[in-house]
Amino acid sequence: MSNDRRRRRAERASNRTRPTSPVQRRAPASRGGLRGTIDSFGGPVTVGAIGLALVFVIGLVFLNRPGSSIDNTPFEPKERAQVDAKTWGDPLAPVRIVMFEDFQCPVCRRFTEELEPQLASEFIETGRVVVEYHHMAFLGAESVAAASASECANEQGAFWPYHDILFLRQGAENAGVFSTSNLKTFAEQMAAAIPDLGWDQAAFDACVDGGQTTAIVEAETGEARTAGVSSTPSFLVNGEAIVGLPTYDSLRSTIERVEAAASGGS
Amino acid sequence: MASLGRWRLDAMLLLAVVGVGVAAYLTKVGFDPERAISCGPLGDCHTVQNSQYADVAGVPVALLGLGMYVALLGLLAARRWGPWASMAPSWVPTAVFAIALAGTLYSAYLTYLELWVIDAICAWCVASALIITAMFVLALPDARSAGRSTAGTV
Repeated sequence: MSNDRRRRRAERASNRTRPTSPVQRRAPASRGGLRGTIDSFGGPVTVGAIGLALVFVIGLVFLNRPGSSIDNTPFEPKERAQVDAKTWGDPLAPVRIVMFEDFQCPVCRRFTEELEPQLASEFIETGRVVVEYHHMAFLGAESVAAASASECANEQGAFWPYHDILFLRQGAENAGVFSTSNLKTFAEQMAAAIPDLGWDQAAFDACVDGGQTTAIVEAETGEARTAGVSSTPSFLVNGEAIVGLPTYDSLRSTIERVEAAASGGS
Repeated sequence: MASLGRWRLDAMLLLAVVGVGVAAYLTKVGFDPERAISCGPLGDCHTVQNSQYADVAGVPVALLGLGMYVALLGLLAARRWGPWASMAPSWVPTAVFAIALAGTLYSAYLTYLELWVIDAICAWCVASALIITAMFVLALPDARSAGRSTAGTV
């Protein structure tokens, strides 16, 4: 390394003392423009490396972007007994599960699709568990929009089927999937699948456009944050917290434990 | 130049080791469905890890980060103690620079997603972004000189 230093010092010295020829006088001009710019960045190899790095990152960003297309799987309504507004199940059930969800949260969708059917058949339909939905709309503007629309559906007693179609249609976060027009279309699709719903699309559209239910969503999200909820899905099983997606076995054991405690205490 | 180069090399090695640790931890969090692992006192790495941006073509971003730090650690360790201890080929500092540049740019994009799209900050992810940015800054001088000479310092 010290040899390096000596060599460079000698080169600098010889540059200072060497007589200037016409060729040398032209040299700075020939190194201007593109070549000069490339050299100032460390030469062609380094510039090539910068280019490769940029292409690689752009590729990653492109691949990383979740698809913004809408899942157009036909909506099939679920049978839900004992539904009252945003609760589902026997209100006198010994175990109450308060769940905090966001319609843009993919793990919440997984809960609805993967765990809920078992939970329904084993605990909700047997009167052992009642589920209560709370908004934790924290993943951006379309989370709030979707939750507000679900409150509009709730005004017509259709929170749960609308909840189901929102999760079915879930796509990229804040990429237009839960735009106002799509939220109205999803309601039409839901109503078409449940002929006896008594659905008033005009009232729903007016509610979505009016935005009066946003205050409910913001209040619930604020309450959830105050209660210490910071991610979705989160659950309170008779007050016992489960954060994230549990396995069905761990959810069952939690329910059975708090159920035993509730019956023991009564 | 020699002492500065050695100082930078050691600093980058240390950062790469810490980076491997952070990325390995985040990878473990990503594969933890029960979320039993703590995110630390700040932010919410579970929300970030469960977002739709946490994978690239099915590969967890944290695993990509781990691969990057392992590659950097391998190159730097070979330069410090291995076959390139006396003289590294000129592509070595360029490769370190290019990997660190890509990592820094992608980390900047991920930090943007955390702040403005996912709306949750992940302290470990920010730590990784700072580590790779520091490595990029340290790699910069050698990449510039490597492009003009046959061998670099790093």
